[in-house]
Amino acid sequence: MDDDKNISLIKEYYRSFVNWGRCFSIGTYLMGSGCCAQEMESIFNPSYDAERLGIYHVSSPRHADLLVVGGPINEKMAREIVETYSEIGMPKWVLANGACSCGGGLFNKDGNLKKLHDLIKVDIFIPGCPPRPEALIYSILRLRLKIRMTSH
Amino acid sequence: MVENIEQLYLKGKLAKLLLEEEISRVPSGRKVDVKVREKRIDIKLDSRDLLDVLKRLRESEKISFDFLDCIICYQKKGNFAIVYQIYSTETWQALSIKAVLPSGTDSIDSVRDIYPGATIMEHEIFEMYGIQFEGAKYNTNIFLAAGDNSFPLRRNENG
Repeated sequence: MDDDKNISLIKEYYRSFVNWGRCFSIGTYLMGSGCCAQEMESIFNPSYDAERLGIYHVSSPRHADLLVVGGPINEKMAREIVETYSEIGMPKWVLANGACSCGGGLFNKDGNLKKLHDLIKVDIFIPGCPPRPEALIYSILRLRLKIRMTSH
Repeated sequence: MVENIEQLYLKGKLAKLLLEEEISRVPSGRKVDVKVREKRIDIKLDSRDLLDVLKRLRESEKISFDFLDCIICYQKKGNFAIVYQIYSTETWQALSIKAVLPSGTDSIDSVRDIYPGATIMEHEIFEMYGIQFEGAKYNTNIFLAAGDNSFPLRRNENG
């Protein structure tokens, strides 16, 4: 009995150690359209430089840990988002950036636009039209706390 | 799981029906337009009743609107209106409030006590349109260059 307990404890320590390591290196794949996309691309510019915090840009969803979706989501875009999400390996996290992807936005009078949380599981919602790049960086730093808590 | 979704749907429907009665009466006696549509609720009111209605929406037991998405401002020949886009995170019901400022004035109550995230959005509207939010002090510019008080998006009274 004691051996089993020890093994489960070791597993738990190992998991918490791995998650501690994960939260300092977050590969980010950006996806979106409109003004939110332009704002969120600028977090990798020299002026904001998210890479100094361990948030780096990847050019393929297969290398990514985090998917950031911004801008209005129509039916054609929704298919692409679900496909891209399925390409990312576990564990994976999702941010909804801006008013449109959080819940349809201001221009959704007829209900044609989709909401991101109807398509895939979203971890953090960032309000704003569009949100400042600092808001996106801050929310990724908040996501670190969530990554530490998960047990994958 | 299915029961939960049904309950949530019924709760949302019921809250929509009760919302019109709950909000359309304000202590000042001014008119509040409430239009309940299939996907969203549109409210149009005078800016002096804004805080009263927002507090009731936030603290409502039936459906709490607790997620402020964005604030925008628009101008029509010297008259300003500010639109607040709000969601309930439980049912994701969308709601937009259009607060019309009395003609010739440019000050409105700040909603930062109800929604703390409104601080930076109000700051942006102040810098671009020059609208004063009561109870807020702005010492520096965060969007424009330092010392720029020209309010670039504000037009003169002739439009």
